[in-house]
Amino acid sequence: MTLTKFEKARIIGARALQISMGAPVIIDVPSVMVDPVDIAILEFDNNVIPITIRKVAK
Amino acid sequence: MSAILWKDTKKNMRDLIKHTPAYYAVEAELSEVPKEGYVTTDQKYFTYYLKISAVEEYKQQESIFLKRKTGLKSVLKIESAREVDPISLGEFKKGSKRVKEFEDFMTADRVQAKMEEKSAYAEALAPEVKKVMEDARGLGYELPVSVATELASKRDGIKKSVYDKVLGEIDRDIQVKSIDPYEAVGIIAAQSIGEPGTQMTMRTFHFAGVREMNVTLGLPRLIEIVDARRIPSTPSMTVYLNRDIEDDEEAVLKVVKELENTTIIDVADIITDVAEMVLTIKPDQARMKERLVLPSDLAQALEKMKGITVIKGETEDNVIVKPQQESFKKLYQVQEQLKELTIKGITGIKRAIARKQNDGKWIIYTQGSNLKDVLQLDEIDSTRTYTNDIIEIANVLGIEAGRNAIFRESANTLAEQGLIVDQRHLMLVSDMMTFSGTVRAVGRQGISGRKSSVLARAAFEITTKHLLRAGLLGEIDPLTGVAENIIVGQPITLGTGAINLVYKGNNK
Repeated sequence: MTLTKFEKARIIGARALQISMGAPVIIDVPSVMVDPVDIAILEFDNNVIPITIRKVAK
Repeated sequence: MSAILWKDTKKNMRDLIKHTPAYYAVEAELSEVPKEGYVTTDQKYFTYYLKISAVEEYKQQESIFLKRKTGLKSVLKIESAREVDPISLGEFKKGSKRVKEFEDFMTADRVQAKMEEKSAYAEALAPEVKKVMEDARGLGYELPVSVATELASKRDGIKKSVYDKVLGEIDRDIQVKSIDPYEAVGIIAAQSIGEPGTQMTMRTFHFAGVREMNVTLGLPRLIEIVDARRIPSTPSMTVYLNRDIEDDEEAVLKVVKELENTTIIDVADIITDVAEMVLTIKPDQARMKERLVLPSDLAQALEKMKGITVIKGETEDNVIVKPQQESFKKLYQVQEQLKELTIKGITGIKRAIARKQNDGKWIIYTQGSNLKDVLQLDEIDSTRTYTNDIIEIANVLGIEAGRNAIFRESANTLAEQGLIVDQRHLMLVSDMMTFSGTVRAVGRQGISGRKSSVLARAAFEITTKHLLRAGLLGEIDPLTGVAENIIVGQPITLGTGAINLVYKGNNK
């Protein structure tokens, strides 16, 4: 599924918030990587974030 | 094939429809057998269509429909009759002239608009363009026609592998550049029109020639368009002529004279005699000549006016007009009416100027606009004739035409100033202004003032008034817009704010 830039940003943002508050990371992260946003992007690129979007029909 | 037109009552026609085929007696003597009949009930629109097969002389007999009780002369055999959508008088032609006034039992021909089926857009494309689009489709890409056309012209001498790569590259580029859902396109359009708008100069454009004509352009015109003014400050029309008389100067000048509106005050002086309670019209020979008005035109115009008696004056062309009622009020009213009385031309067209194009064809530019009446003229080409009055276009030709007029006018205004604004922004504006079915202005009276949300309206202007009214009426705000969500402290339904997240679970 291709995501729009808004959907991508929203997923990464939500995941980064979880990580910043202490959630365990899902994949191995290099020890130099400390920024939760960077970690979220890495997770996103590896397609491991357990979050998807829901499209609501209005 | 000629048809006859007449007037009858609705009741009569309904009875007739029920009993066809039938005989129907009318008071006209008909020399030839008409094939069709059109019946009006209000002298404006014809709503009944009859098929006529024979005409006989009238004899007293039973089971016959009568148009009236006395003076009947012939009997029409009606094969079938039905109600049709209103047909206006303008759709009938007598000889080559359009029928202007209705009279009972007139013979005329119905002019059917020529209809041509337009071939589907995809069919009408050039074969090379079609080929490119098919190639792209084969690789799973969908190309816009404009891109395909461009590519088709550069196709020669490109290797197949390179060509396929180009197609892929184009598709990727289109994907990247297309607007994502929930993008705030309105704001982008506002910025994109507003910024070049700040650079507009107030320069106006003059027509070359002896008699000049001004047309509002630049910023004032752009403001006028988005404000959807009822009447633009310089309404003007571009009248194209039928292709057969387009390069005939004499015919063109005749049309100019037919267009230009001449009132009595333009060619004559009106003198009020309070003691005698009469008005004297003194035609000015020089002005009459310039406007090509004959004394007979004047007499004809006066004939149509109601509530006056026309007496021929003692000297040359003077005409004395007397109100039928003797009162000062009436005298004053008649004087005012006389001033405005149209002798010739079309109301609203103050001036018409014909200009020769480089290709030898003439186009008439007018000051003042009256699309409806101009389109009625036989000599003009109604498919090309244009006015810059957007509201008038929407009223005469419909809201879709109005939408296109807003787009065309704003695009032209910007292009005139050398400003480049993407057409999609202007399309968005014209769509927003017209989607409700009427042309609405951008601003308090229009789009912003009529938002469905109470809070959005309250945030825009006159907060208390809107809130009080909403409270009294018990309005409900579904919080779907931007302003109302900001007010209640929620994420707005645009961009990332519009995305709902859901936990996927870890399937791996």
